[in-house]
Amino acid sequence: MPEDKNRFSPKIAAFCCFHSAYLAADSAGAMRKSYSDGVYIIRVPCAGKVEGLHILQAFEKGADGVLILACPQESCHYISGNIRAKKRVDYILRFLEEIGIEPERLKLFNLASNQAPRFVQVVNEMAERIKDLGPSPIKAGVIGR
Amino acid sequence: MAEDTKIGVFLCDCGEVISRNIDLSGIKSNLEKISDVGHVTLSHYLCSQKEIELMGSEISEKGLNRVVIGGCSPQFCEVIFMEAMEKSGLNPYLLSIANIRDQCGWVHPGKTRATSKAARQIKMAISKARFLEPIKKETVSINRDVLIIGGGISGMEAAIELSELDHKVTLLEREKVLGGRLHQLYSLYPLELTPGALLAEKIEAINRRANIEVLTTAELLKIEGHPGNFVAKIQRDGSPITGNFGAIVVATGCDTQFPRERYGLELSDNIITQLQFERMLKSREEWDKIPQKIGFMLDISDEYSRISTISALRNGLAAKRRFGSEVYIFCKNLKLDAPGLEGLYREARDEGVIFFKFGDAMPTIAPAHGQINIQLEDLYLARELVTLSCDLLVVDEKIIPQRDFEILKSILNIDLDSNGFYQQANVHLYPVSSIRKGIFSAGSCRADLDFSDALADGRAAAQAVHQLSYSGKAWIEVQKLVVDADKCALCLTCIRSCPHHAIEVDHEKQAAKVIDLACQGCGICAAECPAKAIQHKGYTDNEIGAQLEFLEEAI
Repeated sequence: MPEDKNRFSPKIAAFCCFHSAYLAADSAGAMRKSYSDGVYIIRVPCAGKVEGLHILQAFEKGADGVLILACPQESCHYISGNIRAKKRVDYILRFLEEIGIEPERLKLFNLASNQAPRFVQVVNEMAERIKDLGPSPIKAGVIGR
Repeated sequence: MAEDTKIGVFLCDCGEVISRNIDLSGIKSNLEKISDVGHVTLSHYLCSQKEIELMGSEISEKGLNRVVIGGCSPQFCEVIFMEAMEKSGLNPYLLSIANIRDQCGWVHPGKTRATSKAARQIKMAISKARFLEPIKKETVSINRDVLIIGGGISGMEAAIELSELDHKVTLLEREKVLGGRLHQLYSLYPLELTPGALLAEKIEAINRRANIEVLTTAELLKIEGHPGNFVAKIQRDGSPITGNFGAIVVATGCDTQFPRERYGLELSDNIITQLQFERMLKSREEWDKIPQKIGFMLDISDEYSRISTISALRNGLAAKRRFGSEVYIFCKNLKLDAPGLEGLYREARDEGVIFFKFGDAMPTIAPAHGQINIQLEDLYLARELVTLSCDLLVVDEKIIPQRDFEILKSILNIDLDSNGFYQQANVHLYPVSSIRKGIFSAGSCRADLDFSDALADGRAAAQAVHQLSYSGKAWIEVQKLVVDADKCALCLTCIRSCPHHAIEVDHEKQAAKVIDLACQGCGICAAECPAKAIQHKGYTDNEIGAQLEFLEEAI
């Protein structure tokens, strides 16, 4: 567990839908709104493209947290992608705890491409949450921290 | 990694915007050490003509087979780089972009931290690039002929617009004559034109044009084929017709329904609907005596109906002008959310139409001795109880989908929204597109639209069709989603989950098949496939997995 909470900088894999959250992140850039630098954005065409496998792979490779950022409910660019993403995340959450990962480490949020402030808020809150939890137990096991 | 990769990394400092916060030359020298990176450059404006040309010549001279860009967001310059790659003979899909400006330099203060994140972002892009596969582009022919279902105002307008754009149009109408709702309306105020005159004008325009074929008393039975090349089976007067079309516009209009249970009333001689009132306005003979006091009730059947509000204002004004009756409009909240509506409302007030605003408590409506007594708590008068009697009460109706929407939906393989209307691909961005490419909807069959909006909607749908098929050709990305026939168990999960109905069964191969023209590249099928038989090029498991490698590095 972290010796010094302030020194621990969590690594978060953020799967961002190219039609909403990715653009929100870009406009957060244009607005120079700063957020945690441990957030790494992975572009996907739709949140519905993110498989359970990819989420677990991220944890396996040492992510302290995983974010799935999808289009707002009812206005998914691909009609039902965000609903499918939600179902998949709920499914993964069911057994995440069983394999020793706190369920708080995986979150799905819906946001629109014009919601840069919400993007920043969501990723910063996630980073704070992960800071409280400490590094991922998987990482501690695998890398031997 | 099927072949030996030789990656060209092109870093851009965006006119020193990026290098202000990120040590790009440091990153550059680190990247040069990576074995399969064959070339690294750092430029000021990579998107400028000169640099693009330079990039093209580097690709061909050094034999680079992957391109990685470290610069601004792909939403800005991706297309430019893809074009440059194509020009120098490299497949444009072998490109991977690290967004180090918008998603790093601009948001992470502190040069050390920003530099280390940017370096990692570029490494992510490089790892992805190693797994990228080319995607072939091909032109396919698209039929320019269009089928329009419904000869109402939107359908006729779409037909005229498309015929002017030189498309051959077939206009299907279930009834004996064209016109739809226009036959039932009394006025199109504030338009000077009467519905009859407008209809005559449109029919004249349709008859004048040789490339519009009108089929009345005709219905669509079946659709086969793909977007761009549909085969339609039509029945006309009992005899079958077959036609080939590139696109289909659905403009079947809506229906109305009086919700008895909401009102707790039955319709009668002096409680009538808006459409009945319009009919009475049209034929004066139907009046026994002119009603002195007419009430219009709004917001009881449907609080958000624009058609009801517009009709009440228009008919209220007409009654006032024609008969000089006293006109009351009872509403909960008058919503004037269309161009010209505010003006219509002011005009009604100026003419002496009286508005009453009620709250959550519904007005009591009691018919007695040929009169209708209405009692309501008026919000304008500090919730004072107002009692009025009218000779005639015109009630609002619910705008509902037509009964055969369900049938047409399954024929066309499109979806209905939660209210039962034709679902739009995106309410704001693609209002007239359906979830299936090549099928569009216009007018009140897709949303609560008054006739002027329905006219505009018909034109919008025509433009959308034209955009798809104007050249008779379309570029498609061939096999962007690849189905591995050996792995496919034909469980049909992909067919059920595809939001655009772009997957079908290939009976020869006994596997699912993605129809390239219909596919919009969301990758949902690839994620849902339980056998992992589908891979989405650009976002394959390998490519996503490779990007996640960065997490393993110690901070």
